[in-house]
Amino acid sequence: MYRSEDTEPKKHRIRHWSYWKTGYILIAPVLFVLIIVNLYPSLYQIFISFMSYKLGSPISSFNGIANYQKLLTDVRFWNSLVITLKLLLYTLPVQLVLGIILAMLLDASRYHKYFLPLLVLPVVTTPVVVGYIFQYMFREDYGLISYFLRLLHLFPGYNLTANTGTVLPAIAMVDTWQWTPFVMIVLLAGLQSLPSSVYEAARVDGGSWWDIFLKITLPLLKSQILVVLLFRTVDVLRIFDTIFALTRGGPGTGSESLTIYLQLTGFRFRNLGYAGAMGMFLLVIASLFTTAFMKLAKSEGIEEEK
Amino acid sequence: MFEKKMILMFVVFLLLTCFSCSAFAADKVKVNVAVTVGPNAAAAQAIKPIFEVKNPDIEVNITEIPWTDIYQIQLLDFMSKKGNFDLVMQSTSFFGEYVLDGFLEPLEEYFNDVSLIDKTAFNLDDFNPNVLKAVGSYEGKLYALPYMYFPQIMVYRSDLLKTIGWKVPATFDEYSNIVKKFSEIKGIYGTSIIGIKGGAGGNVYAWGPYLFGFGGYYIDQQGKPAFNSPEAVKALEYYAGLYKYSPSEAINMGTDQVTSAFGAGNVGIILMDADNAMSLLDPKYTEFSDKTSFDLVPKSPGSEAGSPLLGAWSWAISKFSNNKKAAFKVLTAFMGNDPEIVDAYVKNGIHPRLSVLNKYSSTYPNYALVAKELPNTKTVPVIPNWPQIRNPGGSHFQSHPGQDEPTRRFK
Repeated sequence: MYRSEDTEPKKHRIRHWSYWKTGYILIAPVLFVLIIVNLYPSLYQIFISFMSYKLGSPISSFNGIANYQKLLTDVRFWNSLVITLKLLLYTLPVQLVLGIILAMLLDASRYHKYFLPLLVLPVVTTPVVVGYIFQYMFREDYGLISYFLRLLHLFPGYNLTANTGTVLPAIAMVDTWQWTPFVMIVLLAGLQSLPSSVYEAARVDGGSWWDIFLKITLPLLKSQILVVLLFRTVDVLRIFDTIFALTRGGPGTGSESLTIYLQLTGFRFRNLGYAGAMGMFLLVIASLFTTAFMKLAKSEGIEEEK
Repeated sequence: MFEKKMILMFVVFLLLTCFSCSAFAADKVKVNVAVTVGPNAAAAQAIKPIFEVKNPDIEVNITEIPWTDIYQIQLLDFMSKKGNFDLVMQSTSFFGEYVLDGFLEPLEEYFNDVSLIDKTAFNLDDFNPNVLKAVGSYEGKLYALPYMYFPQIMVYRSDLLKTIGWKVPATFDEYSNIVKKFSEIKGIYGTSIIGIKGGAGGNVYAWGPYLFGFGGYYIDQQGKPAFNSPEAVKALEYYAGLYKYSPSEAINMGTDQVTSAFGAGNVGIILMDADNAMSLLDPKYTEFSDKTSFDLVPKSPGSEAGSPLLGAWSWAISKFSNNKKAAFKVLTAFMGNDPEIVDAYVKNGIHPRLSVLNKYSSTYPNYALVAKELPNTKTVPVIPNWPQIRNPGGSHFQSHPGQDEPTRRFK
């Protein structure tokens, strides 16, 4: 039977194309959703950040980098950035330490499967609901937190969200209550995947509990810790609902995070162009943190592979 | 065969039923109205069934929205141009903004349509002219009808006043002295400021009678913010001083929470919106209803009377409404002078018609006080950039007293 010279490669090309076609068809829905939900809004945000655009007004005009220049001189914006970074500082270390402790306790317990569902409850609660619940718990007259603070003589017992000096630690406390279990779950999964042989060898070599924790557990958990830090950093940078329900950014601007100020600018002052520029700034910060964590995680992975 | 026939008949019956239902539903026009939670919504809910009986062709669908969110929710509806709300509600804070952005339908054309309104039964002169000016008309053109207004009045616990043996305070000095005295009573906060930042319901409005009492105003004659004028600073110092005798969470409380704190019996004396004060007379709302009394807001030494801030809400037809004529019918009926509707209204709030205010002055103590206070009231400036002025102002008030530690009563 006669066969042309290029029949085989052609067949191969066809098979190859149909293979890729199937792939493209399969990922098309996801791609479509990503374009609509992520790419288009992102590009639109970049576009409006260069516009003078008032929400509800049909008139908008190109104003170059004016919105970005305004960011540099806007005291309230810098104040909100400082507040956001302070929240990062108040929440991440505490959540990490508590998360590790809880994960290790659960890992050591035979009954951890019974405790786990209870400990995870805060994570599945809507942040707005958490905000409103804590609003009551902070109340001076019948709030549980104020009551215990009075008992412990830690504070005079006033509402911690009512003072600019205490409102951020109070919000950090709420965030810690809600998200430490998340940190704990990720680290617990990490702990349970660690090889027992390493621990046995360390114990045979006479390593103390502290030595084992510092020289074996922590280094082996590094990639999980980085993942947790990455998620929590991005979450805290975009924290909105808890603060909105709890204080709406008050007292004054005492808890006005970047996202609260962004919402105010966009939807109260209706200055969407400026809010867009602010959003871009937030995106840059989040990207910087993400890149840093990813690089760290990558270098860890490479070292481990080596 | 018989079974098939039965099934066919059943399907035909179902289709006919659905068709007739949809035809019936299509006959009825649905008017969606946005209304703020509280006295505004309570009055609207009370009027709705009366209106629907009298206008069987219109169904009123009331959406209750917290005052903190109504501006934003309506704004997003305007942006979508869908007209999900036929009647929209606006306060003095953002009425001017809505008008300037072309979100509201001018009402003149509808008032001239005799098929829509009985003009003899609807007299615009009967509306409180200050309220009409603040939230109804802009540059002589009518866009909205006043729905409710709420100058502050003084609300106090008469039993506590009797206990300490003092008379009702008439000046700001007497007021602060009584606040201090009340705070000495165990379990009682002398007063409660409204600390949450915001316009109607928030601290910028609540601060009004203090600001006016000390001779200040929100903006100067050039339209620039005047929060740092000597009079405004004095008023803020006075207001911040009252925080020491308030619950510490008062810094984050709006008018609704302060009303409920008074209703719970924790607060001695407050200046509060006259419409919310109405609920404090209701024994179902508070067990202290028979111990609650009202009076005029205090005055500063030398002035003849106190000067409350006239906060107000109005209803307007959305530019994007698909049922503008039906919405106009709802609007004029709710604000009309039908005795049954007026009677349902006055149990819930301060009616914007002067004739109603005078008629019910002997029935409701806050009506009588509002009638007395009206000539001395002031409004917030109706200017487009008011939100940009109001918000930093509100933030400033909220953080200022927040630095002081309040007196503890619940030790």
